[in-house]
Amino acid sequence: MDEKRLLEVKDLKVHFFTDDGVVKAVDGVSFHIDKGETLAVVGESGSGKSVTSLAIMRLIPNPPGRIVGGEMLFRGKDGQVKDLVKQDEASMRKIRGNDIAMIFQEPMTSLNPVYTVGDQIAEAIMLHQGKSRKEALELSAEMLDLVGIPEPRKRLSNYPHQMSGGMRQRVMIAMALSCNPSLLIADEPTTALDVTIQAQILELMYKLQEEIGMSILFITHNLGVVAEMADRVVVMYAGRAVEEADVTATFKRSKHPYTMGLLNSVPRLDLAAEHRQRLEAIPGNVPNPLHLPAGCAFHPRCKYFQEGRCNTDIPELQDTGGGHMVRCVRWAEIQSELEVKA
Amino acid sequence: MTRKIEARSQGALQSRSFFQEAWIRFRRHPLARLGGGVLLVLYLGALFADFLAPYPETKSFRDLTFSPPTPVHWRDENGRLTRPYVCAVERKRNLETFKLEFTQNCAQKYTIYFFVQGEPYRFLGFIPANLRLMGGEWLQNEQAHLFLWGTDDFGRDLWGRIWYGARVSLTIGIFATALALLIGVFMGSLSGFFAGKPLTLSIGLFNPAYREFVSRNPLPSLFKTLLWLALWGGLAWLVWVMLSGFWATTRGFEAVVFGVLGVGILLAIAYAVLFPLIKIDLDTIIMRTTEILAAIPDLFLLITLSVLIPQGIPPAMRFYLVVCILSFVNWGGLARVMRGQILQLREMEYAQAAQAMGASDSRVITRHILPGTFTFLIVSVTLAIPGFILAESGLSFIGLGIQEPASSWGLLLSKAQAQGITAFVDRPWLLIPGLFIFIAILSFNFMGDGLRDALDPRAKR
Repeated sequence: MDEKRLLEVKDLKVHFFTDDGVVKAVDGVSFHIDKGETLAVVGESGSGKSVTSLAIMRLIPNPPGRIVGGEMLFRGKDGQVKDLVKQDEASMRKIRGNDIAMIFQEPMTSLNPVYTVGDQIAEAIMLHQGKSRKEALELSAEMLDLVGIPEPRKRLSNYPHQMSGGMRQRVMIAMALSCNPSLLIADEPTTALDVTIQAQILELMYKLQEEIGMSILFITHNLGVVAEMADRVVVMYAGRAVEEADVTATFKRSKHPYTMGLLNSVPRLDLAAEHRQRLEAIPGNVPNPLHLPAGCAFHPRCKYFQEGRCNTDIPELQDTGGGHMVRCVRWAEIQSELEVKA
Repeated sequence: MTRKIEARSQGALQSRSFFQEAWIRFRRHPLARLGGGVLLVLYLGALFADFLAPYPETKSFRDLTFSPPTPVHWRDENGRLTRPYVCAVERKRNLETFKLEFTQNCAQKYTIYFFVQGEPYRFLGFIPANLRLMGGEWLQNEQAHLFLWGTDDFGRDLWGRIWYGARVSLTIGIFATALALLIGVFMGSLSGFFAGKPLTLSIGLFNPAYREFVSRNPLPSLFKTLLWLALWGGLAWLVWVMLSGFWATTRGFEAVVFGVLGVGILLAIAYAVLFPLIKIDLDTIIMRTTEILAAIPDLFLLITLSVLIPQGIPPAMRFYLVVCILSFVNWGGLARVMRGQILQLREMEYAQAAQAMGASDSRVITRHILPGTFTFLIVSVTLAIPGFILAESGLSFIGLGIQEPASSWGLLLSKAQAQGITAFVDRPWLLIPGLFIFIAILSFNFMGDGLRDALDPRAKR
């Protein structure tokens, strides 16, 4: 594995074996994260973003879910490369929290209401660094200070219900960062917060990343957040990556019809009035994961659909140059079509 | 990016823990306070029963059976207030009505003294003491008697026996609840955690999965294998013992039938150990067991089990057996609700967050899930205790629970029933134990209600 790579996911497959059939929640996803980089995974609900993040942590509820294939090569703090798929539970526990940490969507429910926030941050530190409770609490106070909570020492003895949503998310971040992880997985960390707090939390994460130098895997459906935070973007649809590019290419030169659709469905205020158009929503819904359409899973909703080409074989992920990957058989034609229009 | 992004200062709050808040809410609940106060008095009375009672628990006066409460006089013949005193009481049969009549003979006044030396006893079972609340020389010399609430069919002081009985009646509820809680919480948690996650019981020595299993981590797997082999071997041995027993005692057709059946079971065990992977759903097993228990009428089960207690064992032993029976009959309900709680809590995000932090399963369970059930448990325990008290009273009432000469409220109440309807008319004091049962149950329910309101996590803060 390349020296600067932190995590390399290859052909990851996570299937859920339900009574109604096999749900291929993640079906052959590959991506990589470099050291210090922020990768955003974007997609609608049900596209498999959260399952991907849980798979990296090996927290897929089993049964019914299972990682059925693929590799996840991860460079630990000690510099050794391990395949996360093959680790047993005990060594996974050492990685969780210590090498890879996670922030969840709901700050309201991801803190345990029966413990003080100090206890909860200290727990992680005691678990992984073998520190005494006193030292751990000392470190917790430093962490709270780092995430910008005023009077951290007093706050240690607060219970979660005494804090606001934004503060709780800060506590979650402090908890996640308390063991200096090399990868932080943030699963829609700002979705449950109001906009001003969202901005604060994002800014905080950005700042902390610069200070600590960790990588972030950012799971979101908010394209505004992606533009703000990400270095590279993976767009997922129905369990597959459909486009992967760096952030400017994603926003300026997206090549997959689904990504274009996503971008068009975001209201824009930055365009002059005469350039503004009606919002274009992507018609239809995410397909039923039990019965994915044949061929490209997006074809029933795609305006560039062509009978016989799109609905026969699953398209390959093609490199269109400069690491910009697209999973669409017609990307070149669509590209020239758009150029002609412009 | 040098600006410090601080959260809004909300003024550091005075931290009050959940239980401190709950205590404040509990104190605002008038009925709960009342219930708690009454229970405190009752439990203190049970603790200091020796002090409250003028006579030892089993002291009986055969010639004074069913004596009515001794009148306590506050005024002398001239109507002036004096120290309280009692008169000697004699029992005579009225030769016209053939009824027993108790007549006072107030020629001699016996003053009641307080905090006196009485018959020696051992406080808490080991501290020798002889301080009693009421009495006097005359009481020990048996010149006169002090029966505040009359006597029972053996001429024993009811007031004292109610407090002695409180020890049994009030603690049996707690002990039985504790035991039922232990079983219920254990079973319910197992059931909740393993719901939808079948346990591997035997891995099958010749199963291809076994080789993979051993190769993953050899030592623990080998240990596990040995454990399961021992378990299954033990089962096979049991079947074999039964089988050979049948073989020895029966002849002819049955022997053949049981032989075939037994060999079939042995072969099935051998097959199970060698080839397939056996998985069992602990949840299903435990929950179906509770359902079977719930399907048998409680009283019937209680009576059946109580009949199994051998006669003539010491009262303390009997007490523990009754506790065991009560909790065995009742753990199912607790296990079910516990399972529901666990199922709900294990899906909470903080349980997942703890896992993502690297906490092990057992750590998640003990540190993050079980504490969440405490408030619920406290409430359900408070509400379960009166049920056990009632069950004990019921058992003792029909003569299957606590037995003479020990005392319990249900047993005392059964004296009223044993003498038929006349108890209501002629000897109403025998119903006093029933009043105590009633008050204790009501207090527990009031307190449980208050606790439920106080500990409700959704309550407004």
